[in-house]
Amino acid sequence: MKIGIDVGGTHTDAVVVDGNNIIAAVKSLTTEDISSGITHALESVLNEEGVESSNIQAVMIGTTQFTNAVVERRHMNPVAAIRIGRQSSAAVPPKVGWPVDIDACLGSEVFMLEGGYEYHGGPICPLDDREVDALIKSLRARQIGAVALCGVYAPVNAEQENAVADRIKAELPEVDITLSHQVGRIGLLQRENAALLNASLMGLSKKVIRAFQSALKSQAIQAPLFISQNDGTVMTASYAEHFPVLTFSSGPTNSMRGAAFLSGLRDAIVIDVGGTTADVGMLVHGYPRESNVAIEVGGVSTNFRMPDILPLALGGGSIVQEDGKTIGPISVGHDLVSRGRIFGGDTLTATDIAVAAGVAEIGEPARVSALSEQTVQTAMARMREMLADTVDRIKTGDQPLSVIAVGGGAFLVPEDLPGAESVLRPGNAGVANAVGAALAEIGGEVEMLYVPGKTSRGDAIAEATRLATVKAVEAGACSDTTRVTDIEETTLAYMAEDTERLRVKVVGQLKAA
Amino acid sequence: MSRTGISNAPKIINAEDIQDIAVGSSFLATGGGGDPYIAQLTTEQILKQSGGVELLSLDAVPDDALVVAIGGIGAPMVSLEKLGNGQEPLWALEALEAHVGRKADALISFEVGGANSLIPIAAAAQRNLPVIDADGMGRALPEMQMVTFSIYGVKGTPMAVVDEFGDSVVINARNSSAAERLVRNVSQAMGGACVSAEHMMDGATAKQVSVPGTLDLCRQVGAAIHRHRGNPSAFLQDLEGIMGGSIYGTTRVLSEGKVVDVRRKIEGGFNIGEIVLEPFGDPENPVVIQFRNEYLTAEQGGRQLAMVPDLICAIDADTALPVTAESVRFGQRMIFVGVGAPEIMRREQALEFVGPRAFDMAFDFTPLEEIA
Repeated sequence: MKIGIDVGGTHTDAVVVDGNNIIAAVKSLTTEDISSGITHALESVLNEEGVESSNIQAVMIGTTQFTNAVVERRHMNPVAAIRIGRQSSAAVPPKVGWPVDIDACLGSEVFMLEGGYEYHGGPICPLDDREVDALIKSLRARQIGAVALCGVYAPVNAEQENAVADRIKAELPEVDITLSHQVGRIGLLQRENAALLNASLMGLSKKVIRAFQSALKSQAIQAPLFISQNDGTVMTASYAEHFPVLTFSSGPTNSMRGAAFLSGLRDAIVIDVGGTTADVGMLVHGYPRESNVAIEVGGVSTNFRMPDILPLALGGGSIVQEDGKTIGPISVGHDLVSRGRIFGGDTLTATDIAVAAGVAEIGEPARVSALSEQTVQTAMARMREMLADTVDRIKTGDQPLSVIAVGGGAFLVPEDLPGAESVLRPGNAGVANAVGAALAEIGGEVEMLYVPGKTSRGDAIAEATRLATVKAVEAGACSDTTRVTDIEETTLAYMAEDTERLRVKVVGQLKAA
Repeated sequence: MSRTGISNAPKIINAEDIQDIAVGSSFLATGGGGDPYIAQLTTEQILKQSGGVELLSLDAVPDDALVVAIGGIGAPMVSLEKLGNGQEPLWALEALEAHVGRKADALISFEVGGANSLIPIAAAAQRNLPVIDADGMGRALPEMQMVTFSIYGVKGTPMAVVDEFGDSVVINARNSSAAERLVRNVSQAMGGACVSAEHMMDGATAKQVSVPGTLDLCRQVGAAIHRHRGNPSAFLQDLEGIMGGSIYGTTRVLSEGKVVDVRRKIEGGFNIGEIVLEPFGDPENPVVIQFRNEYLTAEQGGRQLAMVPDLICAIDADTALPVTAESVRFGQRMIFVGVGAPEIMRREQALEFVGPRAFDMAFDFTPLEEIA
């Protein structure tokens, strides 16, 4: 059996899953130090009947700590930015457009080296050994603790990034190194940003992963620890230590994966209704559809693999105007239990409307019985319209799809939602995040460019699949369960020689302990 | 707010104007021109160091001034990795100057579409030259022979093409189509993208063959988009005022709706396809937009609503930001706006190169204002 844990802003949820059965689920409060909250959640599930620490095969944790560190500008270390490809890219230096406060967290060390690759993988020019020598001398003299390396077209050819990293490792073994081709795709500035944020968070990631491991140890759990990442798969704890940025959007991803499992659907729309917002996303073959646009984390533009989520300012705590026509965007949030009418407060919320309309049984319904029928009907119609509109925008085709409603405010999603073939409300929907964490698989992804005249499409896909499989197995997948989950092809416009961009993702089950 | 009035003080483009010009030119690019973000960052950096650039009104260009057009050629995708070093436009200019043995007096954009509206500004800043408030299309279009300079008799070559090392090729060709073929291949050898200096002409000629006022127009349109971000109807109201004071014709919302189908293919280095828009409140009467890099025609029930060379511009119905043809996706809510092209793009001589028949369509050009 496996344990899934979701560390959220308010709650730390834990579930125990045995095969396809959820045999225990607890909700406990998130603590300031995180690890005591996890220890408490582990204690609670281990107290459930039939759950023994010796039977646990794996523990998966989803956490928002690294996202929060960037958003709050806390626990970030200074990083030297090293760009490879001065001649081809110096016009826009590293960290252009960053908010001043986060730029300051990382310091002002920037190095530009000669080198880089063309789109086809051939070198623009080779590395200059003397420049690399001088770089290492400077890093040593300035006692730099972390570096981010980013080369022009490194996702197509990573040789130069690797070569410089090898030199640094050999001479300055204590320096934390992030290579851009390991954390990002085509798009130099955004990939460089990802590498910089990652290098800056590596100090924190070592502490956090160790805290998780000691929480497991305190409960005598010998099983390996895995961490949820953005794309619905997990990585090993040691991998997460090196790539904390890959956790940035694991929360919504886990809730969507959990919704897929709880409902048994692989292609559907998921609405996760919380206290302040509803996150609406698309499940494609059991995984969240990824976003194509640049995503900002703490004001820094990135190209992380993130689910395509449309946030809607509608949650259980959304404040409703007396006439029922306007709902949100302001929410009472966690104060719902004191300010909501059904709990004796004086603020009319979306939850009060749902109770008055008879679609939810929470608090004291008598406290909202005096609401006018018209207000309740108007507000219910408005919420239906808001949700229908967002569902409509997230769809990519006019195929009929079911909606899975999860989260604490799932009752706000009406049965007859326009655009939905049906609305499902699976059991355990409140801990969908932790369920998603427990059931995640592990994957690897490769992106490459090829010229069809020189390489056949079949060969290109086979090579990308092979590389992605190697990546997945390195990350912890069992090699006989790997399968391709996504192939994306893009013809690059305007090129005289037709060039194809190919992206292949391979996913597999976690190796048993 | 209108800046179209004539004034004696020289207009200056500063670093703070670049984002407006970038977004405004993306609007006038009618779905083409690629994403101007990198060119915006590069140009901002250069202007922060050099200070502002004089924006020279077309009618103030001395008749004997040597005018040179500068811009990028190749795959916009490549600029996402090869950001450039900021010197390429300058080097292209110098390579051309060395070839002909004369120095440029003013620079001009060959198309106010995406990055190509900014590249002449960057080079002008580095050489302390003025940039002319005009271009060769008043919009973006896919090929070299569609530039007004070419249409009205200016030779595109000699043209100098450079890469990021300053390595250069000078092309001499018998006509624009031949030059277009050669430069595509040079661009490929330079890693998929390069910068070109071309279409040399004197000031007197530039006044005859250019579309005036377009850079400042981009700035105004971009400023309006930023001012009304997230409020398309307020932007459209401002747009009508801005266009009303310009050389462009009628401005009219063609359709507002949701994308229910996008078909695209890459053919001959072009992004070709069509978008089907289901208008809000009239879902039974879809609007079909044909594109070839740029939006070319908008048709509803067999009736053309607007056609090239008139501009068919697109904004996102939620953000009011311009939408390029390669980024349109199913379910997106969009507003298509028709803008009458400047008169110089509508003459018979021009329509041969930029009218519907130049894009293999079986009908003649009907101006937007004559379509009820």
